[in-house]
Amino acid sequence: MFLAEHLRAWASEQPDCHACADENRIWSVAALAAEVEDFAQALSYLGLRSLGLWVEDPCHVIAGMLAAAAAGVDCYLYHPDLPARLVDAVAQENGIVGLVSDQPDSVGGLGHWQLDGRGRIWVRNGAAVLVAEGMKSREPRLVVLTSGTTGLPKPVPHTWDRLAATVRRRPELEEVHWLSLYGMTRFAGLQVFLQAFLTRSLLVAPRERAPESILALLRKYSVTHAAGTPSSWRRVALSLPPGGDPHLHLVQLTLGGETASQSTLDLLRNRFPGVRVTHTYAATEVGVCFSASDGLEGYPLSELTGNPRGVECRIVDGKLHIRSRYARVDAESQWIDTGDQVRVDRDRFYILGRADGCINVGGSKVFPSEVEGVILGVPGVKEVRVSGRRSSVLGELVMAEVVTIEPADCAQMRERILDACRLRLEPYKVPRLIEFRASLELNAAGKVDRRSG
Amino acid sequence: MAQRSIRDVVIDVLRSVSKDAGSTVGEIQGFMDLDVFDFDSLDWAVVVAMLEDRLGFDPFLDGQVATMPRTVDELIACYERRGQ
Repeated sequence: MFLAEHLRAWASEQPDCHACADENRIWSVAALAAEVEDFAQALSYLGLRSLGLWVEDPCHVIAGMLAAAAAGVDCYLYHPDLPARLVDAVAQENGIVGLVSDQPDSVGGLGHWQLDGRGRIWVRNGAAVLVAEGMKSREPRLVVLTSGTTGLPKPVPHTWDRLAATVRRRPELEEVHWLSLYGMTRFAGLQVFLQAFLTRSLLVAPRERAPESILALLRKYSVTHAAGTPSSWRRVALSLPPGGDPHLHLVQLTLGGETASQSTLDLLRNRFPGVRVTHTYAATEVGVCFSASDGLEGYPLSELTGNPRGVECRIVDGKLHIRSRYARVDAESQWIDTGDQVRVDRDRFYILGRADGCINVGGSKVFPSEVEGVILGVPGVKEVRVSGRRSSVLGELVMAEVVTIEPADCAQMRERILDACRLRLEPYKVPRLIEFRASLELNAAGKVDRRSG
Repeated sequence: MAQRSIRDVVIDVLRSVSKDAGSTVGEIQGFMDLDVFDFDSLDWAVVVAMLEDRLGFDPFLDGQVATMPRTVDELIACYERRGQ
């Protein structure tokens, strides 16, 4: 298994090199390799064919995934925020026989893994023993679970070599320091992990999301490459003064998972001067499809056709369809309807958001991201969520929940927001219902949560 | 919160929405025809939504309102009937 070989080679050549870190710990490659070998040994001993990882600790998620890969075991990545009853339901639905957890009811702390299959099995750290050769012939899968907005999370199987095919191996990406604000169990989080791991780079995966704590990690580990959603990096940027922090070593900030508005891109450029800011569009099936680093929202049309990532894109009935040779196992060489609506304007195209997420105001469609982009450009606005509100007159109305940077005169702020929206949006898109909130929740994927409205 | 009459709340909301809509209506009186506000359906939808937020119900939602109100008084009556 190439991941296990990569880890072994890295650990023997640069044992003291840092592999992964969070607020509490930093693991050298040697420490990670030891953890992986202990765990893989346990998996081989138990003879499991599939394994669920329900683990909050990012370093242990990494160790668990690598161990499963090394032992030739299919690994299902549970999001840590998945309710316990769904964890079991997903296990039964997919025939998962072993579950590894660091959730509160498991007594195991560091170095202890609780395997809760159909009996309780404890595996303690023992002497490091290499994984039995015979276990490695099979092609193990990594199974990412969808968010499960409606019903049970669905499995999306990947093979490691296809996931790794999208890793960029340019010399300047060797031995850099990454920080990812994506959850480790999300597809985007996995991609950042593989990018860092396979280029022998440190990955800092914070558990906390407070801006001050993230800034402290950026400084502490001299992070050069950072990734996450526009919403999460906007929060961090707003806690920096204009002109940024001279003690940061950041050179690249890569955004994904949500539409990056012009105002957010402008803000990031202002607070992270000199940093290359790239916004990407990715699909769970194929990974990053296209990107732009020119500081402008949307993407050049040339990204659709002359795409260097082996992803073909086309727009059908205003919707984005993609096809990739790195597609997930069960979707190879098929065109996939992403469900995302696209607007083309001259030489650029813009992702409006999911067609089923748009607000229907008396028969006219409103995409929340378009309205959010305008509101985020109003001075003093920190965060916004635009959603549909049921109306007996028009079906739905556009409403906006706004968080201001500082306590503000709500009436005045409301006027400013309405003025900006009237100037740039059709009347039915203007959010006439505006509520001011102390905070908005980002969901576990780092996006403004559209469900808790 | 001090108890405010349904009439006060309705007039308050009409005033606020007419300000947003750029309407030039002066003092709002009960006998006034709703047409004078020159609201479009979007404005009316906002009025009904705001009233639902403040009063906790929407009389237009489940066909409780048989005939559409034509004056401010009639609009207030739609809410008072349910509010009692």
